[in-house]
Amino acid sequence: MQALTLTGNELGRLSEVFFKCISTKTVDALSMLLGEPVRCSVGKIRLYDFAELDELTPAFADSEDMSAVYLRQSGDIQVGVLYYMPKKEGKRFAARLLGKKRFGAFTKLEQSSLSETGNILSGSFFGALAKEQNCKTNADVPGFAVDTFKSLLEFQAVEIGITSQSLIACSAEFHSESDLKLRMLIILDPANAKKLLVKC
Amino acid sequence: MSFTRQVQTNNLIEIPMGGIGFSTEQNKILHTFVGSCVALCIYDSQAKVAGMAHVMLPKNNTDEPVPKLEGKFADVAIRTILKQLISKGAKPRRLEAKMAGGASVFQNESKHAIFNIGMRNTNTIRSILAEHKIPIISEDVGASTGRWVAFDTNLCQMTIRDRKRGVCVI
Repeated sequence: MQALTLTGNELGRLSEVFFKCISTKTVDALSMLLGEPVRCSVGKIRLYDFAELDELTPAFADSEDMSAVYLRQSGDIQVGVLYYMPKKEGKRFAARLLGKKRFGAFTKLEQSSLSETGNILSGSFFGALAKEQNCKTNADVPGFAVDTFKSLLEFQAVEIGITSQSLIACSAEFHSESDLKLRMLIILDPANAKKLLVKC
Repeated sequence: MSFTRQVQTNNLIEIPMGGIGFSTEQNKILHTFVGSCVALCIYDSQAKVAGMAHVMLPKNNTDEPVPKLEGKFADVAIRTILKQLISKGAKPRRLEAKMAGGASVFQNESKHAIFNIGMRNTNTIRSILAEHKIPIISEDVGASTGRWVAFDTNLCQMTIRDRKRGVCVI
């Protein structure tokens, strides 16, 4: 299993790249989708041992289901991106996208609208990354889930951490003017992070 | 000696992703959370010893015969648990197993082999246990949501809790 690691300097450079792509293109894309201004905060990027991944779990996660969209991006590098929010928030988000005033159970159409949001946000992020780092990737079909954060995180860890014993995670939180919140969790292994940095 | 970090809290050994944990005299409950992964427990009900692995993938696909995360791959996890249990006084002919997990968390899962990882994990575990002639006494696998799993070594009971179905004991 890879014992590859990243230096503090490399993590810092990666953080700058992600921050630039998210705070420009992804924020704009979300703002356009929702038709309102969106603010964003990008968290510190960190290297986690598998046994430490639970530290990414928010404190409330055991008592609340999340609605989530997962996309795996492959090509020059392989990255997993998870978009998630509390289930109730997800329904409100979908209702907004579909121009509905009420929000009930997740219908196929609502699930599809959230999956499409994931697609668009990832398209904007990886489009910016391609421009910044000359790094070409393609998105897989998005997956939709309603489950605890632990389940979502575990899935992402399996997908991305097949041959690695540590993973790099970066999270970003988006707030719209009407108080819709969405979180984005980017996960990649150290080998792919190195590949991305080489292209700098 | 396990490389896996084991978090012990009041009689309970918490097993992280890809980890392995063993019951001790003081700590008889093994606990983990699984979504598409599988909580596999192998135990000897007479010797009162048990090991639990948080299995993430079916086969070890790395260059290392024993990866640092011993519970991550079903083949390595089972081999490691058996070795440890026997060193703790378990008899191979008395070993039994229970498992839970292997959920299909994300929809659109049929489109990619990787999305069916839960089913691949449970199938591989069944076949390796059959090779070792270890019977699976009970299991709670599949469905679409994650589970909290606790195994009580004294009672040889696996308690499973999920947010949709509540609590069940197998």
